[in-house]
Amino acid sequence: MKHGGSQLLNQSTVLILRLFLGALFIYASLHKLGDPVSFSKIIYGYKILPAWAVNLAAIVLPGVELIAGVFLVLGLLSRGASLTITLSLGVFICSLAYNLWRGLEFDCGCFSFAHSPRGAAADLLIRDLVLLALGLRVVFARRYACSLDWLFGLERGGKCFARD
Amino acid sequence: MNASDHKLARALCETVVVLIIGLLAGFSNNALSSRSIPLVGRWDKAYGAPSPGGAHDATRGNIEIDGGEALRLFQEGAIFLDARPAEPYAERHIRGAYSLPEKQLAAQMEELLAMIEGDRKAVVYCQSMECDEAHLLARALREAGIREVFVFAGGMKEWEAAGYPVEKSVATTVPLIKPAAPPES
Repeated sequence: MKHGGSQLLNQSTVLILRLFLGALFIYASLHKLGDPVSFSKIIYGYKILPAWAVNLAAIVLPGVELIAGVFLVLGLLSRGASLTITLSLGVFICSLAYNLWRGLEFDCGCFSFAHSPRGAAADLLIRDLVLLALGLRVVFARRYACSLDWLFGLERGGKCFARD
Repeated sequence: MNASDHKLARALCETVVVLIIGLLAGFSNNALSSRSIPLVGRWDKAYGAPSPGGAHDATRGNIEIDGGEALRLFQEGAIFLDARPAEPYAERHIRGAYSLPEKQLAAQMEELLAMIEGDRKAVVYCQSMECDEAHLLARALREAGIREVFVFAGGMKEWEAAGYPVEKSVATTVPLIKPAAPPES
């Protein structure tokens, strides 16, 4: 009984994290999808990608953020969606850390195109590391409760919250 | 293949599927967006002010000039317009330049049109290659009917680096943006 309780707790935690991370990524993608011109300037400001790749990244990244977020909320291809989110957080963290290390001032562009205050990069780095840890927890979950994966038979078990 | 290999393979397959659908979503959004950009932008500074290119590009239709050309026009007596906000202008600007923050253009347009009379050329600039206020201002000036507008793309950064004449905000420059004057009797 105690064992079943901890399983329920684990599955609930993963469900909450899935909904939280998915919603966060959907929210973060919307302003970028609405204004590719401004987002391309933000990407250029990071001074990491070669000139030919800046527009491509500005076009593709928000789409990937949106789809990974939607899939994670729905619980469709949950492991793939959470791995995508974790990988993109990894890329953001490396970019932030690199620019922080070389002292470059830039706008994050994460949740809006408003100029971020100076010295905000270190805070962003910590925030993204926390999100990365949460993302990894979802990637390595044993199962995804109340997900479309479960409904479509991609997950084992016959209930929203299943026992092993 | 053991169970964990199988799980890893499935996770990677799922990731590829999510990435492909995300990629398609990104391209579709850009194709339908009113602020769409071309696949490749003009970000290489060797070819002028960096920009995403395409129909919504601030640099579109503007003539960019380099530091040497800007100095020549300066010596010829062209009117210089500083498109940066008021604070950096007050700190230092090209000698004789007028302050015209891009966002305040509408309020200043009449005064400006009266000033740029006849064949006088206008040179607009902002901080560096990477700001677009000068380009936005140049476009607005062209749309208002001023034909000879040039964008000094290197801006204040290049001007100062070349050691060309600068000044702080002094009375002789008579900036367009003046402090509030007492009402005349």
